[in-house]
Parts: sequence; structure tokens; C-alpha cells
Amino acid sequence: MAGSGGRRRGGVVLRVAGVAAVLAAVLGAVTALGGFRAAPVRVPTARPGVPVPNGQLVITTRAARYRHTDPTDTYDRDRGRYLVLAFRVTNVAPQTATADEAMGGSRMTVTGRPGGTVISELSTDFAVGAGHHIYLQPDLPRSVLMVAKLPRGVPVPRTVAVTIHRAEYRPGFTDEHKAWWGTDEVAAVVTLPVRSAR
Amino acid sequence: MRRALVAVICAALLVAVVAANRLIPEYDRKMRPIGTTGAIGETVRTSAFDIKVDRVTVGRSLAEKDGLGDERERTPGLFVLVWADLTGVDQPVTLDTAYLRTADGHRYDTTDAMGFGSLDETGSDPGLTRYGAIGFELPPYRLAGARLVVAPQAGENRLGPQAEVDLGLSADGARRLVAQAPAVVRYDQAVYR
Repeated sequence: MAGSGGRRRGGVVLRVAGVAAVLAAVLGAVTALGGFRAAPVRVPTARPGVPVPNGQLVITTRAARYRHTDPTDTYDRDRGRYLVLAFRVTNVAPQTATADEAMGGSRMTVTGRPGGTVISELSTDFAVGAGHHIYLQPDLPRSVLMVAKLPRGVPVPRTVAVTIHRAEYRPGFTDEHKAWWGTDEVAAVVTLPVRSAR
Repeated sequence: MRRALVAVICAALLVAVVAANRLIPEYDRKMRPIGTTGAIGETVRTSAFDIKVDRVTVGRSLAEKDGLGDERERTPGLFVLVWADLTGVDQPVTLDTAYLRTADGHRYDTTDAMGFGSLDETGSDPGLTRYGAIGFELPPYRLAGARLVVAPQAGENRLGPQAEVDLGLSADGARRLVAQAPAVVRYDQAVYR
């Protein structure tokens, strides 16, 4: 009887040791691979002047300028502090889009540097336009200007980082009708210097 | 034996359910407008409006006839003006949806280069016919086979009235039209007949 009890205890010890060894091996492997911290996300970057496709549009970020007047007249020719971004955009989707829907909102964010303060939220308004044209017809390239009015106290950034998000054509959350939606996935971040324009 | 038979029937029903589900049309197809089709030169009648397209003109730039100054709108493609008569049936109608559907399935909404007075925005009243142009811009190579689609509702237009007009642009016809396109195409404001 005592012999069979000892064998049973021995078996339990062996199994516990086995489980502990496996756990130690797994933990060792996880630690060796970087632990439980979030893996760094590699954000794709693109240089100014390089076309960036995001699924719906191909966006070429051309220049960033600081001006005292708004070239789109969005702000009624008020003299102020404007950050103007110039893009060349081709709508590669099979339907017309408007520049403000396809490029505004969360589709593109503009920060003073990668990961910095979002300039579009700092500004009192954020406009998209090219003269009075805001329609992007399929396969007809168009120049688009985005203008942010910088509030007082916000310094003029030396560089800006334009984050272009990918878009996808799908039904909405409450609406089965298909439309283009922005995603969290970044197509590219374009960093460019802000030059003063006369 | 009986169990096997039940299992086979269940499996067959499961397959039938999946197959039936696949036959359900997509939402956009299920709720698409109730369209009436026709061709250039014909009156296309819907429950809300009648439309008769009589010609198509194109140009490399666009200007308003009798407009102030000579401000021309430019495009990297081609401006296309579709001229038509529009008549409301029982209430005033504007064409809040107006686009060209190209032969390869692209959709070109009206151009934003046209000022006031386009037929789609001006609309018409019941029993009265207004004549004018609806403007578009598209690459010249997409002109052949293009069809005009118009409807009074903007956006989804679920099961609403819609007219689709074949503009009669054959490959040769479209090529000729593009080759003879003037530097500037002009439009008038839509007017009552």
C-alpha cells in the first residue's frame, strides 16, 4: 500500500515539474521575443512628391506653406496665420468623390511632426478646396489645397507630417448602403518642411 | 438506416439554407431605384418627371453664355453638356441625382464647374417644360457608351423614380465628337419653353 502511495506522489511531482518546465520555456520564449509590450508599429513613410495610393485616391503631397492670406477664400480673405498644404489628387475609385469627404475628417491628419499635436484640431477651422472645385472625378487629377487657420499662441510648425489613412468601400455600421470609409491603417506618413510664402 | 437518412436530410437542408442565403440580392441592388430607360430623342416618363434629351455637346473648357467677363473653367478631361427638356408630373422637381454611367461602370456626378442655371438644379414645375444643360467632366476615352441617369432624390433614392437615357454615343461617334470638340463649350441658363 505504502509503495503504491509513493509511486502516486512521485507521479504528481513529475507532472508538476513538467508543467512548470513548459511554463518556464514559454515565458522564456516570450521574454526573448520582446515580452508583453506592444510591438512597435512600423509606419510606412513617403517623401513629398511621391504618389501615395490609399485605395480610393492617389495623393501626392507637394508643399506646405505659411501664409497671411487664405488662397481658397474659405476664411473670407481675413488676414491671419494660415498653414496651406498643396496636393495633387487622382480619384482612382469608380465613382465621384468630394475632396472634403475623401480627404477631410479622419482620412488625413496633419501634425507638427510625426505623432505630434494634430494641427487640424488646433485650428478654428479646417478647409479643403481648390478654388470652388471640390469634386474629384474618377481618373481626372486635380490640385487640392487644405488650409488650417492657426490660432494665436500656436507657433508656426517648422515641419508638418501628413498621415494618409487607407480607405475601404463597404457598408456602414447602421446602413447597408456601401460607401468609402477611412480606416485606422496608415497608407503613409509624409513629412515636409513649412516654407513661408509671400 | 433511419438515422443515416435523417443525417443526410439535415445536411441537405443546411446546404439549401446556405445556398438560399447566397441568392439574396445585395442591399444596393435590392433597394435600387425603379428606373425607366430610353434613348436620346425619346421622352422618358417616370412617376415624378418626364425627360427628353436632344443633344450632347463637348468642349475642353466651359463658360456661361452671356456670363460676366470671360471666365472659363478648365478640366484635364472633357466637359460634356447633356441638353434636355424636363417636365414635372404632379409637383415641382429638381434632379438631385444626376450622373453619367460609363460603359465600364464608372459613375461621374455633375461637374462643380457649372454655375447657376443648370437644368438639374433649376428643375421644373408640374406641367411646365424647362430646357437646359446638365454638365459633366470625364476623360474623353470614357465618352463612348455613356448613359445619363437622373432622379429627384439625392443619395440612396431607395425604390424611387429614375430615368436612364442612352446618349447614343458609339465609339466612332464619340471619337468624332471629341476630335471636333471646340476649345470652349458654352451653356445657357435653363429656361421654360
